[in-house]
Amino acid sequence: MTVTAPDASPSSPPEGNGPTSSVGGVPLVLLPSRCFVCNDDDAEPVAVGQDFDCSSSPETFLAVRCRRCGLVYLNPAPAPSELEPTHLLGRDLGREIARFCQRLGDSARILHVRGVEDLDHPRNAYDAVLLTNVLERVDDPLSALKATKQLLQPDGLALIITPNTEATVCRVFQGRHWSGYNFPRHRNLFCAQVLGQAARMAGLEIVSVRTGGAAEAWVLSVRNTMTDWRLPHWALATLNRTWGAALMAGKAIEWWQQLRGKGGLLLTTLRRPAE
Amino acid sequence: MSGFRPPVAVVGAGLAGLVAARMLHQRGIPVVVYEAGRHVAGLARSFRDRDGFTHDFGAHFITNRLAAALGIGRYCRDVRRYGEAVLLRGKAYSYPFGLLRTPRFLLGALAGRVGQRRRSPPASAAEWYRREYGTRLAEEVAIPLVESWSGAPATALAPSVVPPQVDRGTAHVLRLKLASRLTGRAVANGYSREKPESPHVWHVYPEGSLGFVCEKLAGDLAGLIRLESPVQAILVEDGRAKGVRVAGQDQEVSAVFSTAPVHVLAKLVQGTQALSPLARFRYRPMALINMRFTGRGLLPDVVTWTPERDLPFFRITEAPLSMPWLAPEGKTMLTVDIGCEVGDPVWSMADEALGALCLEGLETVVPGIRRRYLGCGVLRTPVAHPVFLREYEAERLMLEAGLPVSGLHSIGRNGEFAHILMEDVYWRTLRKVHQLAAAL
Repeated sequence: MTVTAPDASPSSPPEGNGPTSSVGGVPLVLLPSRCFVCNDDDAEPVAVGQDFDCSSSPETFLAVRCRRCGLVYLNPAPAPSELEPTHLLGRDLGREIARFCQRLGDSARILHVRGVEDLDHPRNAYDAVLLTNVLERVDDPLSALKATKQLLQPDGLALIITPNTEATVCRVFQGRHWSGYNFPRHRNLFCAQVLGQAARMAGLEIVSVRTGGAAEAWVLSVRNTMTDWRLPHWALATLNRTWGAALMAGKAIEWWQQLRGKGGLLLTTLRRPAE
Repeated sequence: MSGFRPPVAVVGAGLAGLVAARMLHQRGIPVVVYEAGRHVAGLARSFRDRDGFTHDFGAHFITNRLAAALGIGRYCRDVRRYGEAVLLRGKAYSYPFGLLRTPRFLLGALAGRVGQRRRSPPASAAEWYRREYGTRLAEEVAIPLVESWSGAPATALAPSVVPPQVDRGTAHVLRLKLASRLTGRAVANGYSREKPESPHVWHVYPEGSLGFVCEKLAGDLAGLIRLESPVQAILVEDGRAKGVRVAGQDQEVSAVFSTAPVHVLAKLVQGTQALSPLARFRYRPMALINMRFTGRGLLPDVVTWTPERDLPFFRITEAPLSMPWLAPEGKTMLTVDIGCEVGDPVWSMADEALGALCLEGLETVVPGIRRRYLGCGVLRTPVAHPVFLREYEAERLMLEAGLPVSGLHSIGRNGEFAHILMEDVYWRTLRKVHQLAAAL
């Protein structure tokens, strides 16, 4: 199976995902939630945010960090059926995916999962499964990881790409504007340790964990700040006009952060153990 | 085994009681909330009068963080500005930096700090203020205010009347003030002690008043709240809470979470003397006079402190300055706070007479204000806030560590005998109930 390469043209700003989600003006049903790793709701509030992409949404959201394991999750969270699945692919992923696929060789059967519905495929059939920007969006990450395991052949590999809560960009914009929150679409956000713990719970082995660059996260977070603080229209227009240049700056920062292990994306390679 | 598990009784359906009950309910622990009044929300209720003025009883706003935690963000409006001023001999000083720009206050404050480390801990609030603020600021501003607030001399008050300030350097305060200016939001500054303050946490006002916050919580507890059901006794056997008496009937319980003022709790508990020291704890009664006027911006800032001893009040709040929707356009409401005792002349005074008394004092603060006066409404509470007397400070510290009766827990602003604000009540109650729920 071939993998479709994500759109990697970095020169124009992405549009908000307003039309594809039900957030807009429609009220959401928010329900109490808990850490899926610890099955507990003992947590510290870390960020209060809004849907900055569709600023018409009046809802506010709270991201909390589990005191036991460090998972960052929404509490309360939108009811499971509330959010339509979205298929956004970050632009920083293209190279990472290409590199991963190259290593597997041309004959490898690779499944690229971009939403929970893509997990419904033949079992024990794939050499590799890619989960790009999926785990943070799904209602139940543990089930998604278990489903991933079942798709893989024994010794098959899974590459999980998800925002990194230990990234520098997250620390800088932590209280509200970090694009990784993507309120309210990202229900669960991970650091290397929590993702490892969740993977083990799903019966997967950890092969490698590293961080990757997320240049766009810097620019989007800055844009979130500008939108939220109602900066004059020309300021936002300037950012949109110089998007390419801003991304270059983001790339430079991320190149450095990646070397420190603090890049904006978490890239975790997992293996289904041979039975 | 019968499998019957007696419920946990929660006494009081205010913010703390409802938060505790909801958390227990979510954990599958059976719970019953007993509320003496006809509504939930206790002191957090407010109402709108015929002329379009909103009367809040106690707190005006919550933070966006609490609103998000409760999932009611979309029902809240941003509060645009908040500031405090001190009125001294006819001159308004912004708080705190306006005061510190005055050389005699600044020099006094600096002098007070010199050699401070070597001294023993302060014995009273008066001593604490003199050391921290310097003699002049303490005697002209802080001490008169804390005495009006408490109704006791500052020498009789424990230093704990001043809540410990976490993370409150000058740079931090300035940063939050700057963020408030930049974002056009009333960034919480000195409001939250449980959770860190940041430019991203600001004040919001729930649509349809603060009672809405409690109604939202009560909505998750359908069928578990008994209104007009005062708890007449809490029954303790062998040092353990075993039941509550409601409408003359004894109900078996597995634990009790009480939000009652501790001196009331001491009288409710039967079967032990362990709580009797709490009976002498005092709360300050307060009359809140909501005065209606034509015009807006009559006061220098949203909250104005008046330490002058010849004024009958110590604080005036012009809430429509930060929340314009609380009064009709072109009009405003000043809430005047007078500390009193239950049954004293202020407590028993007719509303209009109390209005006239305040108006006389206000005339010296805002000359000509009499011509703008449209009338007033008065709210009275016997338990506005705790009085931190030195004489029971040792018992208060014991209370902080937990009650000496197993299965009986005191929570919330009144139950903890602590001057804690809305958001802190929420996080503290969550933390406390989370620790205790594991053992239930």
